[in-house]
Amino acid sequence: MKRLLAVGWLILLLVLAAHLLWRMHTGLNLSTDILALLPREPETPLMERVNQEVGDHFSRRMILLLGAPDPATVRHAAQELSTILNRSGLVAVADNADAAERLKRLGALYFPYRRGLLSDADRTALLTSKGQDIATAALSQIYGFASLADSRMIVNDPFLLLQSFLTHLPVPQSRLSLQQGFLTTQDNGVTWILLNGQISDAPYALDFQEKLLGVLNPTIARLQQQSPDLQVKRVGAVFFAAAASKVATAETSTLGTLSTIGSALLLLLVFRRLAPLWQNLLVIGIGAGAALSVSLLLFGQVHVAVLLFGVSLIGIAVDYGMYYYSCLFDPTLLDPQQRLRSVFAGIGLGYITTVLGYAVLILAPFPGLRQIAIFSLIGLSASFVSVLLWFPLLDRNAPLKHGASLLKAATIPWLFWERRDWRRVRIGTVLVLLVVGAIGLLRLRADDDVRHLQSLSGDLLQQQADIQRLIGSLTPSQFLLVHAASDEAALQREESLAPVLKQQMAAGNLSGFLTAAAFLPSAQRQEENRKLVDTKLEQPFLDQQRRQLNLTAPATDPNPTQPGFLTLSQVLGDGAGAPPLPFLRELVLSPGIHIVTLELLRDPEALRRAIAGIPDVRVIDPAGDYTALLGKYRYRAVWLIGLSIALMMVVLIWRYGWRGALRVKAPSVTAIAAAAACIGLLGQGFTFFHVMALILVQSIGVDYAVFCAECARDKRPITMLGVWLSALSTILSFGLLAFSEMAAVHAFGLTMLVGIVFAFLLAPLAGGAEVKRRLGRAGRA
Amino acid sequence: MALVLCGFLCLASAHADEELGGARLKPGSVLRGHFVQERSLQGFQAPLRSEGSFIVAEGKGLIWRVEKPFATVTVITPAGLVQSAQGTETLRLPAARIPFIAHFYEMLSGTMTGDLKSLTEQFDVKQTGTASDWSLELTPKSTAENTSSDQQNMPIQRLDLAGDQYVKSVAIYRQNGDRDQLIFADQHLDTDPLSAEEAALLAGSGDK
Repeated sequence: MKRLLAVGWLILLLVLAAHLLWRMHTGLNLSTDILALLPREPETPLMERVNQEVGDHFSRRMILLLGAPDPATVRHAAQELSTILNRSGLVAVADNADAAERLKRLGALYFPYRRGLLSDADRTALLTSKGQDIATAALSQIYGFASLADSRMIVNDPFLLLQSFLTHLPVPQSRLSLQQGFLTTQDNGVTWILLNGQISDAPYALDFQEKLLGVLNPTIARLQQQSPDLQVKRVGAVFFAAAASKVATAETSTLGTLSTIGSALLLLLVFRRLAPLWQNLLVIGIGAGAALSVSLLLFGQVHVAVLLFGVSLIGIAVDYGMYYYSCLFDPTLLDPQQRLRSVFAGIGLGYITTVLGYAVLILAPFPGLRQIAIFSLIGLSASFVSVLLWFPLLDRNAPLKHGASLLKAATIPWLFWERRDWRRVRIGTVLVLLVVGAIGLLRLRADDDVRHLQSLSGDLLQQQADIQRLIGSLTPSQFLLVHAASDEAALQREESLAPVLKQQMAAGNLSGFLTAAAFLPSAQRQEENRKLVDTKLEQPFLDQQRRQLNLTAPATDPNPTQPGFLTLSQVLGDGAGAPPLPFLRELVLSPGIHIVTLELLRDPEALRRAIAGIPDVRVIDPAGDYTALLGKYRYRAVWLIGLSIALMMVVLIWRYGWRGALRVKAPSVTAIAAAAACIGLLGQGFTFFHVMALILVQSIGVDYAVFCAECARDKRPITMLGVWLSALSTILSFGLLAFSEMAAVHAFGLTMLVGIVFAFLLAPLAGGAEVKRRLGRAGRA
Repeated sequence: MALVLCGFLCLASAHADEELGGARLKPGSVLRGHFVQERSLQGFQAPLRSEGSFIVAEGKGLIWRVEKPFATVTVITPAGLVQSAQGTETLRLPAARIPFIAHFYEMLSGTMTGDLKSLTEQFDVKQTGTASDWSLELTPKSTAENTSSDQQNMPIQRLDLAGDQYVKSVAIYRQNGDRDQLIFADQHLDTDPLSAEEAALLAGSGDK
């Protein structure tokens, strides 16, 4: 029967292995978007869609800036690079070759409606009855040096209203001008050309990052070989993500290797045999492989951070084998069945409590953490079952005899709590730790800022700053969403927003904004403008203006303005040819739903207050929203800890009664407090990821206590050796994460390191708990 | 147009110096003179005539003062363009917006850049006369870089320049039949410092 089960288990694992191999062959689908690890608030479908669209659009943008002293060199390089990128199909680089044509079309489009289009300055002048100023300004331009206006314009628009409107349009990337089909700027004798691209896939997909960089980097290297003074700067979510996943993959392999080598050395040194090592490696491999295979089956793709946390699974998976093999040092246990029976209660209860700890993570509404929880549950279960079914069959070892001094040393933590002559030291240590701990807990402060979690590559940040300086603006990261019944209503909202936003700019809270209404006034505003032009400008000043210009052509307008109003769909382009203002399409998501991009918004709350009176408008600040969410869920996660303690207490009370359960639970709860105090002492912000680690500290910590509670007095050294091995290997895996460069992973690792150390040192305190109820066939070992 | 002309004033001086003989604008030197501008516009009965004085301060910028028919001052510096009429500012285009002026040209009439180098790249130059009495005829080039659509967009059909030691006249022929004629007179180079008022004008043309 046992053999049958073992064989059945083998077959199941082989199937999972085959699935995994097949997935690896077709290309592992790993994701690196840190935001994917975070929860999505249940939002209205509209908001969901807007966030998605805006997020997708802007996160898929990439900017390359090429510079060299010789303009021809840069143009050549830009041409070649954009050709190669376009041909690769990975990036669509915006083509500006027909931009001149587009702008002419825009001019032609605006021209018939010019009397409804007024620059802010002209509109203000007319509203304050200062039409004469406009007339004078037009005359001085026409007569003055180097006039832009030609006869056709002057005849039809003697006040140069359209020219004024056009020259005052807000333009993104305002330091660039179009030269020979390239967006160009000059700075310190270097000509820079901007290539604007839209990548064809999510910037966080690893294989896409590889493909893109595989085309981009060699091409740039080749171009730089041809012209050594060519500089290339880049910015875009895809580059940040690629740098981050490079760090993550590098860390996964270094930390994973260190963890594995450390655990292997530990086993070799302790057991002086290969069998415990390779069998434990087998268990780890089974755990990780099965977890990855099933996760891919369930989720389709696995986040790279899940993989990284998964590495730490090795630390727990190895525990079951450790406990089992520490029995080799017990001379009274002669065969594998006896050994398994002796540890069954311990690893069984340990497994159940750990599973409860992870199960609570499933309740956390964070998709990434749910993945981590399920990944870990599957991995742990596979490891646990493998130990139960296979170890008794694989174990051919006689009891080990070299363990005397090892066992003696292993019991030191236990002795620390029990020896009478160490009482003063004990009390002193505890008091000092209590005081230090209290100070640490008092200094603990929360920090939920999502931007602090994404450690961005410094080099890329520098390039981003350079590009921002050279081209004037960058991809906006904050927006206003205007959600009105129609385009007309949305444009009107934007018109009432504009003065508020200008006030915010004057107050230093904002450095710029872009609305669709700036390019196309609402019909209401166009009508108002026409009336203004008619009553405040043309009636009083037109004849005089024409006289001053020697214009004696008939007073009737030879080119009457269109009766209707210019509409948004006309400006957006009706599908015939490229749209005249490509960036306008980014601002208009669908009829009535517009966004207003904001540049460098400092205080979103102040802006929220300022626009409170304008209906249908809300601030969208994705980073701010995620920060608020993280704060909310950090708070919620603290409750999860309480919940998981309660769940475990049910099992522990059943087994040890009230007093015993408290004894068993106390060490892990204290370990949580100690880890939190340590975060406070180090001055780190207390984040959601610290709290998630605390959940694990208490579920792993309770294992150690359970082992100490489950063992008879004469088995204490052997049990304690198992706890030692387990704690050390956990520290080797989880604790190593403290050295990660990724803030979230570091927070997690550090908390684990401190928490596990304390859980381990305090575990012998649970030794006094008495078993009240038996666990199946296994008794007290 | 501002940039083009600004370029021309310097271009012509450079030409005059290198090939045709004449004065060079040294750092710190100031070129002063008078001008008459006649804009012959299609559909207008009479040309729009203006006259006044100009100052080119090497490395600093240009002050263009229209005295007749009414007082207008245009100041162009690397920081931007400011125009004022009768003491009131009527137009201010900081340099940060000047690239958009390039867009504006394109929007209305075609591609044109103020870059001196790209100017010579974009024009065929025909030179006649002697060092002390020269003329240049510039016509937009038709090269691979100036595609046919750029040709159509080019607002300028031809530029004629004539001069001796200094530029004497510039004529700008536009595609639509408009013609701007500039006649310069009384030019002289000096190294006297700018007056306080002139320096203030040149200093105040950036973004406010």
